Amino acid sequence: MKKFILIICGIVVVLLAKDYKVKITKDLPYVDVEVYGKVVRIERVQNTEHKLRNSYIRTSRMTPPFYIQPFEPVKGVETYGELELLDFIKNRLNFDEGALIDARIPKWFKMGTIPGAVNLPFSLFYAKEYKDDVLEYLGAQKKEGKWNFDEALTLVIFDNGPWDQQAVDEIKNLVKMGYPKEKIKYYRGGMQYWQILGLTTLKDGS
Amino acid sequence: MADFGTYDAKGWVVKVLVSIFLLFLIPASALSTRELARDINLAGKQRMLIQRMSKDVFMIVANIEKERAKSDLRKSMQLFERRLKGLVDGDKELGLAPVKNREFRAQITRVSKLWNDFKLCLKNVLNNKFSQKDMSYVKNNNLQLLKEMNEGVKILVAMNPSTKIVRAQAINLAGKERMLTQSIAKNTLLLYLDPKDGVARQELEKNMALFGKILNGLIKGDEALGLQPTKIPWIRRKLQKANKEWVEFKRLIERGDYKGVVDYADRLLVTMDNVTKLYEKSIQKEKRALALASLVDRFYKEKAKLKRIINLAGKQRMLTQKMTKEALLITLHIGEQRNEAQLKNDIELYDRTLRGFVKGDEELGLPATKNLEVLAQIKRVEVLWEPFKSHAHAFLQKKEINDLKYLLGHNEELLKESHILVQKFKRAYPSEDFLERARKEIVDIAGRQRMLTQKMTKEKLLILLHFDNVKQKLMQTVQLFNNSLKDLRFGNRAKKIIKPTNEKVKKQLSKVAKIWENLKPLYLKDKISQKELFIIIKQNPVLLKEMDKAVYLAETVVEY
Repeated sequence: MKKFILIICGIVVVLLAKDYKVKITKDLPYVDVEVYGKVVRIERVQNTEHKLRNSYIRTSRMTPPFYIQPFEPVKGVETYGELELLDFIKNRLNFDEGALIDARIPKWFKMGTIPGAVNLPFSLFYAKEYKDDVLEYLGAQKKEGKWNFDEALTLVIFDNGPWDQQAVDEIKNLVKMGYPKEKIKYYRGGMQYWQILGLTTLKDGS
Repeated sequence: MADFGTYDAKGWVVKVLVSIFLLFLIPASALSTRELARDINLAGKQRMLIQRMSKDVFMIVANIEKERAKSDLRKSMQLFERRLKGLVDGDKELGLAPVKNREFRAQITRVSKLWNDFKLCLKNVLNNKFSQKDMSYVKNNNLQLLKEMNEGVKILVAMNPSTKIVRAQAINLAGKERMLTQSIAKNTLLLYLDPKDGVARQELEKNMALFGKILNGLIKGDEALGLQPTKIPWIRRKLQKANKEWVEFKRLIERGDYKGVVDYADRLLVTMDNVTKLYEKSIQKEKRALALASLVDRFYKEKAKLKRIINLAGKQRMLTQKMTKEALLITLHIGEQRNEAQLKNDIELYDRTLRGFVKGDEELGLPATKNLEVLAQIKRVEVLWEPFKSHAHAFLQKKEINDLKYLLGHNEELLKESHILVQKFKRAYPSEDFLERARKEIVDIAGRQRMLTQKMTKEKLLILLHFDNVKQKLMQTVQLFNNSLKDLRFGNRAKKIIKPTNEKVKKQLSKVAKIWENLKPLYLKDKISQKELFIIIKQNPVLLKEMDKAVYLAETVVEY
């Protein structure tokens, strides 16, 4: 009898489970991420007729400053695509083994970001008085005037997309400060690619 | 134990001096949040070790896996002692940072005193020299030691700002579960040794009930315990695993399978330790996000303050022209009362802002300027402003032509020096942000337009008062305003002004252009009727206000 009830419950769960018409990959319908103690589900928009209506439909922006960025803007810093980023979120960010950094200025961040991202605007790195605090929060430790990055977090840094240089600027500054290149990853697609794929965004990061 | 008796007086003096020196080197609040979290975790684990050591003692006494229990006891004793020392002096290898908090140190001294006596009994057990007295001592005092260690943990937790996060209670209680597994095993062993031991039975029942309540609270939430249901899937999965193990653990206790209980207690301990670590990571992540958000907020508030300074300095330029325009309107008996009141306000505002640049003005959002170059320029402005202000006040009182002449003769000099002040402020607070640099020209030119609205009205009024030599100047001012507005609306690559794409900006600039379209011919007309003059006077503040809105948008919109 107990077995029978369990089977029925199982069938009900399967029937009620969301049927994903649009998956991330064949075997991956969604990724859960913890944001301020709550779980946010990253999935793709299920409506196949859906189109973007925000400013990410634009193809061209004035230069300077919006030049196209190279695939590997800083030698030694690995570039991530969406699947690498999602794997990072699932297996590292959720267990506090890394940080997902939105390098854009807060105005952009507040309009929508990748769930789980924290806002660390590139402009902050030009203010000397904030640099030490930032590095400490990222896990680096200052001993006898020198920074030790042994316990520093692996960072995935992104901005608006390949036409933006806010993330690249931040990466260059972090490298200048001694942050190990192997602990920095660049998500080049940024918000442009993230949204064009219909992936979940979060307003104000929370 | 160190032999303090061998220290000579000289050695003590050196030690004291070194200590004082070190005290200056290490700030009292040297613990970072990460270090504090680690200290809390390890101090919390000390509670579990006390119960584990007590359990090992009773395993040895009961002859249950005696050798393994001895080995465990030895390791636990070393670890307990090392951590206790590490919490006070720091221990790099264990990742412990020294806690400087006096209250905590006093508490650790209390724990150490109890531990020293407790340790003697444990050593006797290890050396097979234990007596009934030793066993009773462990049995009667392990809870006192636990209580004192727990007080130490509480002090550390209170030092931790993350206690404001509701989930911090989950770490504390999940950590407590580790201790409870060992306490339950210990009491089971005590009952094996003496089935009539009422205290052990009572403690066993109490701790089993508490373990179950906390575990349930962690899964489903428990208001009395201050626990919210755990919703993070990977922590929930671990909690479900702990729940399954707990069911099995209870079954072993009920069956009186002492050996099984001892083994399973360690298994459950590992699971609960993993749960605690996951909670810790979750909170650590949240704390970091909050700390970074607060840092970014502080940075942008500071930046906004600097922007405000530059904005107010920019407005001072406009005020030089506005005050002169108002004096002219009063002379022409146009809206006399209103313009008198406005001139009075504008004098006060210019004066207050200038003073605010030097001494700071909280209400205006101005910090005191420390930059020497800026201060020197403020002095230059003050030299011009003081007589200008006196004449403006005198004009308000007596309406004498000499005072008006002074204002007319010196307003542009004041404007020029006020403009230099804006540039000096900009140099003193440079903006390295490439996004802001890209908009710098736009904001500058839009800001200048505000001043031009006042300057052209002033010049128009001067022409009406037969200052014919101003005609050429007015033409230039009108032309400059006109061209700049065109540049702002349609872009000018040579001047690094990009064409706006933002709908709000475009709409606002169109609004300004519409007002300007009606006003421009009136400014350029040689002779205007009274009706037309009133249109200029009425529409001029509107043009200023709408241009001000455009400046604000140019600075604040996400995409220009």
